[in-house]
Amino acid sequence: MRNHETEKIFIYHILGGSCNGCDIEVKVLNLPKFNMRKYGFEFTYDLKKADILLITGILTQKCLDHISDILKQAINKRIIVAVGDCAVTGGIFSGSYTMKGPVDKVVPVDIYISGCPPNPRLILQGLLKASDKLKNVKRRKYDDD
Amino acid sequence: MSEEKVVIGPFYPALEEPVQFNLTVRNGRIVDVSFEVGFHHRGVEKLALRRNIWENVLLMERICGICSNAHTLCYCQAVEKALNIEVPPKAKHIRVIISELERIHSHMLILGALMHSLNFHHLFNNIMINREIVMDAFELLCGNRVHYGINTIGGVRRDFPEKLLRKILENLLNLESFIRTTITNIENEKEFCEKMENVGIISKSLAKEFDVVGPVARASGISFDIRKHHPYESYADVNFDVITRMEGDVKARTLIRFEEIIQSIKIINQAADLLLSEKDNTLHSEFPEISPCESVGRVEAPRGELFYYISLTNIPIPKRVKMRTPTFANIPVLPEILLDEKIELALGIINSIDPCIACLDRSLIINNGRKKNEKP
Repeated sequence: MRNHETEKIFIYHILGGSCNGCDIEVKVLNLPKFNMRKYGFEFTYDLKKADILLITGILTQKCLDHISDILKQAINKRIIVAVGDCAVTGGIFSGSYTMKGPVDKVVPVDIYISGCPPNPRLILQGLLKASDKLKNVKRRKYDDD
Repeated sequence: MSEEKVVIGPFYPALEEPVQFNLTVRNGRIVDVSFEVGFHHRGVEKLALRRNIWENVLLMERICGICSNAHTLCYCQAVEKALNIEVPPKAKHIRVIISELERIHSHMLILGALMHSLNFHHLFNNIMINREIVMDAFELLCGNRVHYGINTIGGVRRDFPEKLLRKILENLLNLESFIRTTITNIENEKEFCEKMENVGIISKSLAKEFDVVGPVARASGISFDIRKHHPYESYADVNFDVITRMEGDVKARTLIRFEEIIQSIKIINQAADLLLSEKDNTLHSEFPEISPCESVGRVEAPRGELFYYISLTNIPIPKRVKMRTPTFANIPVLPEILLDEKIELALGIINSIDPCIACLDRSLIINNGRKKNEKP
Protein backbone atom coordinates (compact mmCIF):
# COMPACT_ATOMS: atom_id res chain seq x y z
CA MET A 1 0.00 0.00 0.00
CA ARG A 2 1.29 3.39 -1.00
CA ASN A 3 1.77 6.03 1.65
CA HIS A 4 -0.32 8.91 0.30
CA GLU A 5 1.38 11.54 2.38
CA THR A 6 5.00 10.89 1.63
CA GLU A 7 4.89 9.42 -1.88
CA LYS A 8 3.66 12.13 -4.21
CA ILE A 9 2.49 11.33 -7.72
CA PHE A 10 2.92 14.16 -10.20
CA ILE A 11 0.51 14.65 -13.08
CA TYR A 12 1.30 16.53 -16.27
CA HIS A 13 -1.80 17.63 -18.18
CA ILE A 14 -1.61 17.85 -21.98
CA LEU A 15 -4.36 19.70 -23.88
CA GLY A 16 -4.84 18.12 -27.27
CA GLY A 17 -7.70 20.11 -28.75
CA SER A 18 -10.79 19.40 -26.69
CA CYS A 19 -13.88 21.48 -25.95
CA ASN A 20 -12.57 22.63 -22.49
CA GLY A 21 -15.10 20.39 -20.76
CA CYS A 22 -12.60 17.70 -19.77
CA ASP A 23 -9.85 20.26 -19.08
CA ILE A 24 -11.91 22.07 -16.47
CA GLU A 25 -13.13 18.83 -14.91
CA VAL A 26 -9.46 17.84 -14.52
CA LYS A 27 -8.55 21.22 -13.04
CA VAL A 28 -11.31 21.11 -10.39
CA LEU A 29 -9.75 17.97 -8.88
CA ASN A 30 -7.62 20.40 -6.87
CA LEU A 31 -10.67 21.71 -4.98
CA PRO A 32 -11.42 20.53 -1.43
CA LYS A 33 -14.62 18.91 -2.72
CA PHE A 34 -12.68 16.30 -4.70
CA ASN A 35 -9.38 16.64 -2.82
CA MET A 36 -6.94 14.75 -5.00
CA ARG A 37 -4.12 15.76 -2.65
CA LYS A 38 -5.51 13.33 -0.10
CA TYR A 39 -4.33 10.57 -2.40
CA GLY A 40 -0.96 12.20 -3.01
CA PHE A 41 -1.70 13.52 -6.51
CA GLU A 42 -0.35 16.87 -7.57
CA PHE A 43 -0.21 18.78 -10.85
CA THR A 44 3.17 19.69 -12.19
CA TYR A 45 4.29 21.89 -15.06
CA ASP A 46 7.68 20.18 -15.22
CA LEU A 47 7.69 17.26 -17.59
CA LYS A 48 10.79 15.69 -16.08
CA LYS A 49 9.10 15.44 -12.70
CA ALA A 50 5.88 13.89 -14.04
CA ASP A 51 4.77 10.32 -13.32
CA ILE A 52 1.47 10.41 -15.17
CA LEU A 53 0.69 12.09 -18.50
CA LEU A 54 -2.99 13.00 -18.69
CA ILE A 55 -4.22 13.68 -22.21
CA THR A 56 -7.55 15.27 -23.21
CA GLY A 57 -8.89 16.08 -26.66
CA ILE A 58 -8.84 14.65 -30.16
CA LEU A 59 -5.18 15.58 -30.87
CA THR A 60 -5.54 18.06 -33.69
CA GLN A 61 -2.76 18.30 -36.26
CA LYS A 62 -1.50 21.61 -34.88
CA CYS A 63 -1.40 20.37 -31.29
CA LEU A 64 0.33 17.15 -32.31
CA ASP A 65 3.11 19.12 -34.03
CA HIS A 66 3.95 20.59 -30.63
CA ILE A 67 3.54 17.55 -28.41
CA SER A 68 4.49 14.53 -30.55
CA ASP A 69 8.07 14.57 -29.23
CA ILE A 70 6.86 14.58 -25.63
CA LEU A 71 4.48 11.72 -26.32
CA LYS A 72 6.97 9.52 -28.18
CA GLN A 73 9.55 9.88 -25.43
CA ALA A 74 6.99 8.97 -22.79
CA ILE A 75 6.36 5.43 -24.10
CA ASN A 76 7.23 2.89 -21.36
CA LYS A 77 8.52 5.66 -19.11
CA ARG A 78 5.34 7.34 -17.94
CA ILE A 79 1.79 6.14 -17.34
CA ILE A 80 -0.42 7.58 -20.09
CA VAL A 81 -4.05 8.31 -19.21
CA ALA A 82 -6.59 9.29 -21.88
CA VAL A 83 -9.46 11.35 -20.42
CA GLY A 84 -12.78 11.91 -22.18
CA ASP A 85 -14.49 10.34 -25.15
CA CYS A 86 -12.47 12.48 -27.58
CA ALA A 87 -9.17 11.11 -26.34
CA VAL A 88 -10.48 7.54 -26.01
CA THR A 89 -12.32 7.07 -29.31
CA GLY A 90 -12.55 10.43 -31.07
CA GLY A 91 -16.11 10.76 -29.88
CA ILE A 92 -18.38 13.09 -31.78
CA PHE A 93 -15.50 14.54 -33.80
CA SER A 94 -14.45 11.23 -35.45
CA GLY A 95 -13.94 11.79 -39.13
CA SER A 96 -12.86 15.40 -38.77
CA TYR A 97 -10.12 16.49 -41.16
CA THR A 98 -7.92 17.89 -38.41
CA MET A 99 -8.13 14.86 -36.14
CA LYS A 100 -4.93 12.82 -35.73
CA GLY A 101 -6.13 10.92 -32.68
CA PRO A 102 -7.50 9.10 -30.79
CA VAL A 103 -4.54 8.97 -28.43
CA ASP A 104 -3.84 5.25 -28.79
CA LYS A 105 -3.21 5.77 -32.50
CA VAL A 106 -0.16 7.85 -31.54
CA VAL A 107 1.05 6.30 -28.27
CA PRO A 108 -0.03 3.20 -26.28
CA VAL A 109 -2.48 4.19 -23.52
CA ASP A 110 -2.49 2.59 -20.05
CA ILE A 111 -5.76 3.87 -18.61
CA TYR A 112 -8.88 4.95 -20.51
CA ILE A 113 -11.41 7.20 -18.74
CA SER A 114 -14.44 7.69 -20.97
CA GLY A 115 -17.39 10.02 -20.53
CA CYS A 116 -18.30 13.30 -22.17
CA PRO A 117 -16.86 14.72 -19.98
CA PRO A 118 -16.17 12.19 -17.21
CA ASN A 119 -17.21 13.22 -13.72
CA PRO A 120 -14.25 14.39 -11.59
CA ARG A 121 -14.87 11.49 -9.22
CA LEU A 122 -14.49 9.11 -12.16
CA ILE A 123 -11.24 10.79 -13.20
CA LEU A 124 -9.97 10.39 -9.64
CA GLN A 125 -10.86 6.70 -9.72
CA GLY A 126 -8.94 6.30 -12.97
CA LEU A 127 -5.94 8.10 -11.52
CA LEU A 128 -5.94 5.76 -8.53
CA LYS A 129 -5.86 2.81 -10.92
CA ALA A 130 -3.00 4.49 -12.75
CA SER A 131 -1.12 4.87 -9.48
CA ASP A 132 -1.43 1.11 -8.90
CA LYS A 133 0.10 0.52 -12.30
CA LEU A 134 2.94 2.85 -11.46
CA LYS A 135 4.50 0.14 -9.29
CA ASN A 136 4.96 -2.10 -12.31
CA VAL A 137 6.53 0.62 -14.46
CA LYS A 138 10.14 1.31 -13.68
CA ARG A 139 10.27 5.06 -14.01
CA ARG A 140 13.09 5.87 -16.36
CA LYS A 141 14.49 9.24 -17.17
CA TYR A 142 14.00 11.06 -20.43
CA ASP A 143 16.78 10.93 -23.01
CA ASP A 144 17.84 14.51 -22.40
CA ASP A 145 17.94 14.26 -18.58
CA MET B 1 17.89 49.72 -25.64
CA SER B 2 17.55 45.97 -25.61
CA GLU B 3 14.49 44.19 -26.89
CA GLU B 4 13.31 40.89 -25.54
CA LYS B 5 10.95 38.39 -27.11
CA VAL B 6 8.51 36.74 -24.73
CA VAL B 7 6.46 33.79 -25.96
CA ILE B 8 3.42 32.83 -23.88
CA GLY B 9 1.97 29.48 -24.83
CA PRO B 10 0.79 27.48 -26.64
CA PHE B 11 0.74 25.14 -23.63
CA TYR B 12 1.03 27.42 -20.62
CA PRO B 13 -0.41 26.82 -17.14
CA ALA B 14 -2.02 30.24 -16.64
CA LEU B 15 -3.76 30.10 -20.02
CA GLU B 16 -6.74 27.81 -19.89
CA GLU B 17 -6.38 26.74 -23.49
CA PRO B 18 -3.67 26.40 -26.12
CA VAL B 19 -3.01 29.76 -27.78
CA GLN B 20 0.31 31.41 -28.47
CA PHE B 21 1.15 35.07 -27.78
CA ASN B 22 4.41 36.49 -29.11
CA LEU B 23 5.27 39.67 -27.23
CA THR B 24 8.21 41.99 -27.81
CA VAL B 25 9.29 43.77 -24.64
CA ARG B 26 11.41 46.90 -24.23
CA ASN B 27 12.23 48.17 -20.70
CA GLY B 28 9.52 45.98 -19.20
CA ARG B 29 6.83 47.40 -21.51
CA ILE B 30 5.18 45.59 -24.39
CA VAL B 31 5.93 47.15 -27.78
CA ASP B 32 4.72 44.52 -30.24
CA VAL B 33 2.08 41.80 -30.09
CA SER B 34 1.09 38.95 -32.36
CA PHE B 35 -0.80 35.79 -31.61
CA GLU B 36 -1.41 32.41 -33.14
CA VAL B 37 -4.63 30.43 -32.84
CA GLY B 38 -5.97 27.25 -34.39
CA PHE B 39 -4.81 24.61 -31.91
CA HIS B 40 -8.42 23.71 -31.14
CA HIS B 41 -9.69 23.72 -34.73
CA ARG B 42 -11.84 20.61 -35.14
CA GLY B 43 -13.71 21.33 -38.36
CA VAL B 44 -17.17 21.60 -36.81
CA GLU B 45 -18.80 23.43 -39.73
CA LYS B 46 -17.73 20.64 -42.10
CA LEU B 47 -18.81 17.88 -39.70
CA ALA B 48 -22.24 19.50 -39.38
CA LEU B 49 -22.93 18.88 -43.07
CA ARG B 50 -22.61 15.11 -42.59
CA ARG B 51 -25.22 14.73 -39.86
CA ASN B 52 -28.93 15.43 -39.69
CA ILE B 53 -30.29 18.45 -37.82
CA TRP B 54 -31.07 16.50 -34.61
CA GLU B 55 -27.61 14.93 -34.40
CA ASN B 56 -26.13 18.37 -34.95
CA VAL B 57 -27.58 19.54 -31.61
CA LEU B 58 -25.14 17.16 -29.90
CA LEU B 59 -22.29 18.34 -32.10
CA MET B 60 -22.92 22.05 -31.46
CA GLU B 61 -23.02 21.35 -27.72
CA ARG B 62 -19.47 20.08 -27.92
CA ILE B 63 -18.01 23.16 -29.62
CA CYS B 64 -17.31 24.62 -26.21
CA GLY B 65 -17.39 23.07 -22.76
CA ILE B 66 -18.04 26.39 -21.02
CA CYS B 67 -20.93 27.90 -23.01
CA SER B 68 -22.35 24.65 -24.41
CA ASN B 69 -25.97 25.61 -23.74
CA ALA B 70 -25.66 28.91 -25.61
CA HIS B 71 -24.50 27.05 -28.73
CA THR B 72 -27.38 24.55 -28.73
CA LEU B 73 -29.91 27.25 -27.88
CA CYS B 74 -28.75 29.43 -30.76
CA TYR B 75 -28.69 26.50 -33.18
CA CYS B 76 -32.17 25.35 -32.13
CA GLN B 77 -33.47 28.93 -32.46
CA ALA B 78 -32.13 29.15 -36.01
CA VAL B 79 -33.81 25.86 -37.01
CA GLU B 80 -37.05 26.78 -35.22
CA LYS B 81 -37.23 30.14 -36.99
CA ALA B 82 -36.48 28.51 -40.36
CA LEU B 83 -39.23 25.89 -40.01
CA ASN B 84 -41.71 28.12 -38.07
CA ILE B 85 -41.80 25.95 -34.96
CA GLU B 86 -43.49 27.46 -31.89
CA VAL B 87 -41.74 26.66 -28.59
CA PRO B 88 -44.10 25.90 -25.65
CA PRO B 89 -43.94 28.41 -22.73
CA LYS B 90 -42.66 25.89 -20.19
CA ALA B 91 -39.67 25.08 -22.44
CA LYS B 92 -38.93 28.79 -22.76
CA HIS B 93 -38.67 29.22 -18.98
CA ILE B 94 -36.45 26.14 -18.64
CA ARG B 95 -34.15 27.48 -21.36
CA VAL B 96 -33.83 30.80 -19.51
CA ILE B 97 -32.99 29.08 -16.21
CA ILE B 98 -30.25 26.94 -17.79
CA SER B 99 -28.84 29.89 -19.79
CA GLU B 100 -28.49 32.00 -16.66
CA LEU B 101 -26.98 29.20 -14.58
CA GLU B 102 -24.48 28.77 -17.38
CA ARG B 103 -23.68 32.49 -17.38
CA ILE B 104 -22.93 32.31 -13.64
CA HIS B 105 -20.57 29.35 -13.96
CA SER B 106 -18.82 30.78 -17.01
CA HIS B 107 -18.28 34.19 -15.39
CA MET B 108 -17.00 32.59 -12.20
CA LEU B 109 -14.58 30.42 -14.14
CA ILE B 110 -13.03 33.35 -15.98
CA LEU B 111 -12.95 35.49 -12.83
CA GLY B 112 -11.09 32.64 -11.14
CA ALA B 113 -8.63 32.42 -14.03
CA LEU B 114 -8.17 36.20 -13.94
CA MET B 115 -7.42 36.19 -10.21
CA HIS B 116 -5.03 33.28 -10.73
CA SER B 117 -3.12 35.15 -13.43
CA LEU B 118 -2.88 38.27 -11.22
CA ASN B 119 -1.57 36.14 -8.32
CA PHE B 120 -4.61 36.43 -6.03
CA HIS B 121 -4.62 32.71 -5.24
CA HIS B 122 -6.82 32.94 -2.17
CA LEU B 123 -9.64 34.60 -4.09
CA PHE B 124 -9.17 32.16 -6.98
CA ASN B 125 -9.76 29.25 -4.59
CA ASN B 126 -12.81 30.90 -3.04
CA ILE B 127 -14.36 31.59 -6.43
CA MET B 128 -13.79 28.05 -7.66
CA ILE B 129 -15.22 26.56 -4.44
CA ASN B 130 -18.36 28.69 -4.76
CA ARG B 131 -18.64 27.81 -8.45
CA GLU B 132 -19.35 24.23 -7.37
CA ILE B 133 -22.77 25.42 -6.12
CA VAL B 134 -23.76 25.99 -9.75
CA MET B 135 -22.10 22.81 -10.98
CA ASP B 136 -24.07 20.85 -8.37
CA ALA B 137 -27.25 22.54 -9.62
CA PHE B 138 -26.47 21.33 -13.16
CA GLU B 139 -25.80 17.82 -11.90
CA LEU B 140 -29.13 17.79 -10.07
CA LEU B 141 -31.19 19.32 -12.88
CA CYS B 142 -29.62 17.81 -15.99
CA GLY B 143 -27.61 14.81 -14.77
CA ASN B 144 -24.31 16.07 -16.14
CA ARG B 145 -21.93 18.76 -15.05
CA VAL B 146 -20.77 20.15 -18.39
CA HIS B 147 -22.85 19.15 -21.40
CA TYR B 148 -26.43 19.46 -20.20
CA GLY B 149 -28.29 17.96 -23.15
CA ILE B 150 -31.39 20.01 -22.32
CA ASN B 151 -32.22 21.71 -25.65
CA THR B 152 -33.82 20.02 -28.59
CA ILE B 153 -35.39 21.40 -31.74
CA GLY B 154 -38.83 22.69 -30.73
CA GLY B 155 -38.38 22.67 -26.97
CA VAL B 156 -36.51 20.99 -24.14
CA ARG B 157 -35.95 17.38 -23.17
CA ARG B 158 -36.88 17.30 -19.49
CA ASP B 159 -38.86 19.07 -16.80
CA PHE B 160 -37.49 20.32 -13.48
CA PRO B 161 -39.13 19.02 -10.30
CA GLU B 162 -40.28 21.72 -7.87
CA LYS B 163 -38.41 20.32 -4.85
CA LEU B 164 -35.03 20.41 -6.62
CA LEU B 165 -35.65 23.88 -7.98
CA ARG B 166 -36.44 25.25 -4.50
CA LYS B 167 -33.26 23.68 -3.12
CA ILE B 168 -31.15 25.25 -5.87
CA LEU B 169 -32.70 28.69 -5.34
CA GLU B 170 -31.77 28.40 -1.65
CA ASN B 171 -28.14 27.56 -2.52
CA LEU B 172 -27.98 30.50 -4.92
CA LEU B 173 -28.73 32.85 -2.00
CA ASN B 174 -25.41 31.79 -0.40
CA LEU B 175 -23.67 32.43 -3.70
CA GLU B 176 -25.19 35.90 -3.92
CA SER B 177 -23.88 36.92 -0.49
CA PHE B 178 -20.39 35.69 -1.45
CA ILE B 179 -20.47 37.72 -4.68
CA ARG B 180 -21.61 40.87 -2.84
CA THR B 181 -18.74 40.64 -0.32
CA THR B 182 -16.22 40.04 -3.11
CA ILE B 183 -17.42 43.12 -5.01
CA THR B 184 -16.87 45.35 -1.93
CA ASN B 185 -13.45 43.77 -1.38
CA ILE B 186 -12.30 44.43 -4.93
CA GLU B 187 -13.67 47.97 -5.00
CA ASN B 188 -11.96 49.02 -1.78
CA GLU B 189 -8.76 47.06 -1.32
CA LYS B 190 -5.56 48.64 -2.51
CA GLU B 191 -3.81 45.57 -3.90
CA PHE B 192 -6.62 44.92 -6.37
CA CYS B 193 -6.71 48.54 -7.51
CA GLU B 194 -2.95 48.60 -8.18
CA LYS B 195 -3.08 45.71 -10.61
CA MET B 196 -6.45 46.44 -12.22
CA GLU B 197 -7.13 50.15 -12.37
CA ASN B 198 -6.23 52.00 -15.60
CA VAL B 199 -4.81 48.81 -17.11
CA GLY B 200 -5.72 47.61 -20.59
CA ILE B 201 -8.20 50.40 -21.28
CA ILE B 202 -10.71 49.96 -24.11
CA SER B 203 -12.21 53.39 -24.69
CA LYS B 204 -15.74 53.74 -26.06
CA SER B 205 -14.47 54.79 -29.50
CA LEU B 206 -12.03 51.85 -29.63
CA ALA B 207 -14.82 49.49 -28.61
CA LYS B 208 -17.00 50.83 -31.43
CA GLU B 209 -14.15 50.65 -33.94
CA PHE B 210 -13.36 47.00 -33.15
CA ASP B 211 -17.02 46.09 -32.64
CA VAL B 212 -16.46 44.24 -29.37
CA VAL B 213 -19.43 42.42 -27.81
CA GLY B 214 -20.74 41.25 -24.49
CA PRO B 215 -19.33 42.24 -21.08
CA VAL B 216 -16.24 43.75 -22.76
CA ALA B 217 -18.43 46.24 -24.66
CA ARG B 218 -20.65 46.92 -21.63
CA ALA B 219 -17.54 47.70 -19.53
CA SER B 220 -16.65 50.39 -22.10
CA GLY B 221 -19.99 52.17 -21.89
CA ILE B 222 -21.87 50.49 -24.74
CA SER B 223 -25.20 49.45 -23.31
CA PHE B 224 -26.17 46.56 -25.55
CA ASP B 225 -27.58 43.22 -24.49
CA ILE B 226 -29.56 40.95 -26.79
CA ARG B 227 -31.58 39.68 -23.83
CA LYS B 228 -32.92 43.21 -23.35
CA HIS B 229 -32.93 44.77 -26.80
CA HIS B 230 -34.00 41.76 -28.91
CA PRO B 231 -35.60 39.46 -26.30
CA TYR B 232 -35.79 35.77 -27.06
CA GLU B 233 -37.42 32.90 -25.11
CA SER B 234 -39.07 34.39 -22.00
CA TYR B 235 -36.57 37.19 -21.37
CA ALA B 236 -39.31 39.70 -22.21
CA ASP B 237 -41.29 38.56 -19.13
CA VAL B 238 -38.48 38.95 -16.60
CA ASN B 239 -37.11 42.09 -15.06
CA PHE B 240 -33.37 42.79 -14.98
CA ASP B 241 -30.84 45.58 -15.54
CA VAL B 242 -28.18 45.87 -18.21
CA ILE B 243 -25.04 46.72 -16.23
CA THR B 244 -22.75 49.28 -17.86
CA ARG B 245 -19.52 50.87 -16.73
CA MET B 246 -17.62 53.70 -18.31
CA GLU B 247 -13.97 53.03 -17.35
CA GLY B 248 -13.18 50.18 -19.77
CA ASP B 249 -10.21 48.88 -17.78
CA VAL B 250 -9.53 45.43 -16.30
CA LYS B 251 -11.26 46.39 -13.04
CA ALA B 252 -14.44 47.42 -14.87
CA ARG B 253 -14.46 44.19 -16.85
CA THR B 254 -13.99 42.22 -13.62
CA LEU B 255 -16.69 44.02 -11.64
CA ILE B 256 -19.19 43.91 -14.49
CA ARG B 257 -19.01 40.12 -14.50
CA PHE B 258 -19.59 39.97 -10.75
CA GLU B 259 -22.58 42.28 -11.07
CA GLU B 260 -24.01 40.26 -13.96
CA ILE B 261 -23.95 37.19 -11.72
CA ILE B 262 -26.28 38.99 -9.29
CA GLN B 263 -28.60 39.93 -12.18
CA SER B 264 -28.55 36.30 -13.36
CA ILE B 265 -29.63 35.07 -9.94
CA LYS B 266 -32.46 37.63 -10.09
CA ILE B 267 -33.57 36.28 -13.49
CA ILE B 268 -33.41 32.65 -12.29
CA ASN B 269 -35.69 33.46 -9.36
CA GLN B 270 -38.28 35.08 -11.64
CA ALA B 271 -38.05 32.36 -14.29
CA ALA B 272 -38.48 29.66 -11.62
CA ASP B 273 -41.68 31.37 -10.44
CA LEU B 274 -42.93 31.52 -14.04
CA LEU B 275 -42.06 27.85 -14.54
CA LEU B 276 -43.80 26.68 -11.37
CA SER B 277 -46.98 28.65 -12.13
CA GLU B 278 -47.18 27.39 -15.74
CA LYS B 279 -50.24 25.21 -16.37
CA ASP B 280 -49.34 23.93 -19.85
CA ASN B 281 -47.17 20.82 -19.45
CA THR B 282 -45.95 20.32 -23.03
CA LEU B 283 -42.18 20.39 -23.30
CA HIS B 284 -41.69 20.36 -27.05
CA SER B 285 -43.82 20.88 -30.13
CA GLU B 286 -44.23 18.59 -33.12
CA PHE B 287 -41.83 18.70 -36.00
CA PRO B 288 -43.22 19.94 -39.35
CA GLU B 289 -42.25 18.84 -42.82
CA ILE B 290 -38.96 20.19 -44.07
CA SER B 291 -38.92 22.60 -46.99
CA PRO B 292 -36.04 24.67 -48.41
CA CYS B 293 -35.47 27.58 -46.02
CA GLU B 294 -32.83 29.56 -44.19
CA SER B 295 -32.67 31.53 -40.98
CA VAL B 296 -30.45 32.94 -38.25
CA GLY B 297 -30.33 32.67 -34.46
CA ARG B 298 -28.97 35.24 -32.03
CA VAL B 299 -28.26 34.60 -28.39
CA GLU B 300 -26.48 36.53 -25.64
CA ALA B 301 -23.88 33.92 -24.66
CA PRO B 302 -21.82 34.52 -21.48
CA ARG B 303 -19.13 36.20 -23.59
CA GLY B 304 -21.39 38.23 -25.86
CA GLU B 305 -23.42 37.88 -29.01
CA LEU B 306 -23.50 34.42 -30.56
CA PHE B 307 -24.81 34.14 -34.11
CA TYR B 308 -25.84 31.08 -36.13
CA TYR B 309 -26.91 30.85 -39.76
CA ILE B 310 -28.52 27.69 -41.11
CA SER B 311 -29.75 26.82 -44.56
CA LEU B 312 -31.86 23.72 -45.31
CA THR B 313 -33.00 21.92 -48.45
CA ASN B 314 -35.69 19.22 -48.73
CA ILE B 315 -33.68 16.72 -46.66
CA PRO B 316 -32.98 17.03 -42.92
CA ILE B 317 -29.23 17.43 -43.51
CA PRO B 318 -28.22 21.12 -43.51
CA LYS B 319 -26.76 22.72 -46.60
CA ARG B 320 -24.70 25.20 -44.59
CA VAL B 321 -24.23 25.98 -40.91
CA LYS B 322 -22.24 29.08 -40.02
CA MET B 323 -21.46 30.41 -36.57
CA ARG B 324 -19.91 33.64 -35.31
CA THR B 325 -18.71 33.30 -31.75
CA PRO B 326 -18.20 36.21 -29.30
CA THR B 327 -14.45 35.62 -28.87
CA PHE B 328 -14.08 35.92 -32.64
CA ALA B 329 -15.33 39.50 -32.30
CA ASN B 330 -13.39 40.30 -29.12
CA ILE B 331 -9.90 38.96 -29.76
CA PRO B 332 -8.76 41.49 -32.45
CA VAL B 333 -8.77 44.23 -29.79
CA LEU B 334 -6.08 42.46 -27.72
CA PRO B 335 -2.99 43.70 -29.63
CA GLU B 336 -4.28 47.29 -29.24
CA ILE B 337 -4.76 47.18 -25.47
CA LEU B 338 -1.62 45.15 -24.69
CA LEU B 339 0.65 47.83 -26.22
CA ASP B 340 2.57 49.92 -23.71
CA GLU B 341 1.49 47.84 -20.72
CA LYS B 342 3.77 46.17 -18.17
CA ILE B 343 4.72 42.61 -19.12
CA GLU B 344 3.71 41.20 -15.71
CA LEU B 345 0.12 42.39 -16.28
CA ALA B 346 -0.12 40.86 -19.77
CA LEU B 347 -1.81 37.64 -18.63
CA GLY B 348 -4.36 39.59 -16.61
CA ILE B 349 -5.28 41.71 -19.63
CA ILE B 350 -5.51 38.66 -21.89
CA ASN B 351 -7.80 36.87 -19.43
CA SER B 352 -9.90 40.00 -18.82
CA ILE B 353 -11.50 39.82 -22.28
CA ASP B 354 -12.39 36.19 -21.53
CA PRO B 355 -10.95 34.45 -24.59
CA CYS B 356 -12.54 31.07 -25.32
CA ILE B 357 -10.24 29.44 -27.83
CA ALA B 358 -12.42 26.38 -28.37
CA CYS B 359 -15.21 28.71 -29.55
CA LEU B 360 -12.84 30.89 -31.55
CA ASP B 361 -11.12 28.33 -33.74
CA ARG B 362 -13.22 28.48 -36.89
CA SER B 363 -11.61 28.49 -40.28
CA LEU B 364 -11.90 31.73 -42.23
CA ILE B 365 -11.13 32.44 -45.85
CA ILE B 366 -10.33 36.06 -46.57
CA ASN B 367 -10.99 36.85 -50.19
CA ASN B 368 -9.57 40.23 -51.11
CA GLY B 369 -10.66 40.10 -54.73
CA ARG B 370 -7.16 39.82 -56.16
CA LYS B 371 -6.10 37.15 -58.60
CA LYS B 372 -3.62 34.52 -57.49
CA ASN B 373 -0.33 35.97 -58.74
CA GLU B 374 -1.31 39.62 -58.62
CA LYS B 375 0.84 41.83 -56.39
CA PRO B 376 -0.88 43.69 -53.55
